Amino acid sequence: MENILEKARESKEYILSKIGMNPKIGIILGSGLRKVYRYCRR
Amino acid sequence: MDFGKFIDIVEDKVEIEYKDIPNFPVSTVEGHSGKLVVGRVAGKEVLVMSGRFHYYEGYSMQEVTFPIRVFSLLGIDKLIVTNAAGGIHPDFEVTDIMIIKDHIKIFDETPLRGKNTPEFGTRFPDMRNVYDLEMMNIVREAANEINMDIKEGVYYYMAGPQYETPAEVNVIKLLGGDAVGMSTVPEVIVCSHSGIKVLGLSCITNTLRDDTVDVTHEEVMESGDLIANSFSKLIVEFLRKI
Repeated sequence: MENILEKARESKEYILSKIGMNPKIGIILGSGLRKVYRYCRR
Repeated sequence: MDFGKFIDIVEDKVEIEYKDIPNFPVSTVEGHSGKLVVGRVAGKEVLVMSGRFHYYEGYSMQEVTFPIRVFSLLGIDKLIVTNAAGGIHPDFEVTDIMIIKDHIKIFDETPLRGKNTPEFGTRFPDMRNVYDLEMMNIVREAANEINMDIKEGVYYYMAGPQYETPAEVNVIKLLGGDAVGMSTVPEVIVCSHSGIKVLGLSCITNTLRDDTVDVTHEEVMESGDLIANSFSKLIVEFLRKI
């Protein structure tokens, strides 16, 4: 991925144009359920 | 399990689809493009990523971690990062939540490979205190407040998408891993690079031990709902205290 700083600035400007807040806390929500299986020692 | 249910408790929210954000990666999962949600939880303004990008989907490490670069520029200084993980520690049970005290990532590519961008951070970031001690203390207090028996341990990163062989599980155990999963660590490395403090939480959705038994789909769904509910309570309490 080239020019990450420039690309991130573009993303930031777009997001800022859509939100009326200045959050300082980020949250990443995980997803998915790991497969449940029988574990046997080998 | 659907961590996305957490979004329901976000107030005054604005939602932005990833696909509408310039330069954001596009999800490989049809119908699940993911979204950013900005709003308030427990009176605190938060920026929530509902859906993340995984290395196993074919993204580069730089793409996987691109949202963290954007978070950094937006002024985010604390990040709560969550995942579903396989429990390896013998005391862990399905539905437990584990505070990530540290992580192990040994063999895979790093998102910091290549020319450094000094506007984001230093060439050789310090990884000794990746997970913020103060945030860990606050989440311990939050768990105590809601009578949750929260676990703590080391998260072992595997790139996936294949699950671990029994031999690999034994190695992870020997190396000090308490839970294993396929996410989180790339984002955390970039947080460290950018000076964002991190709280990591793993939801144990299965166990990888000798006594692991097959469970029914209904039991899995029930476990998932239990975790999603307790997880939401924990985050709300944490945000109240922070």
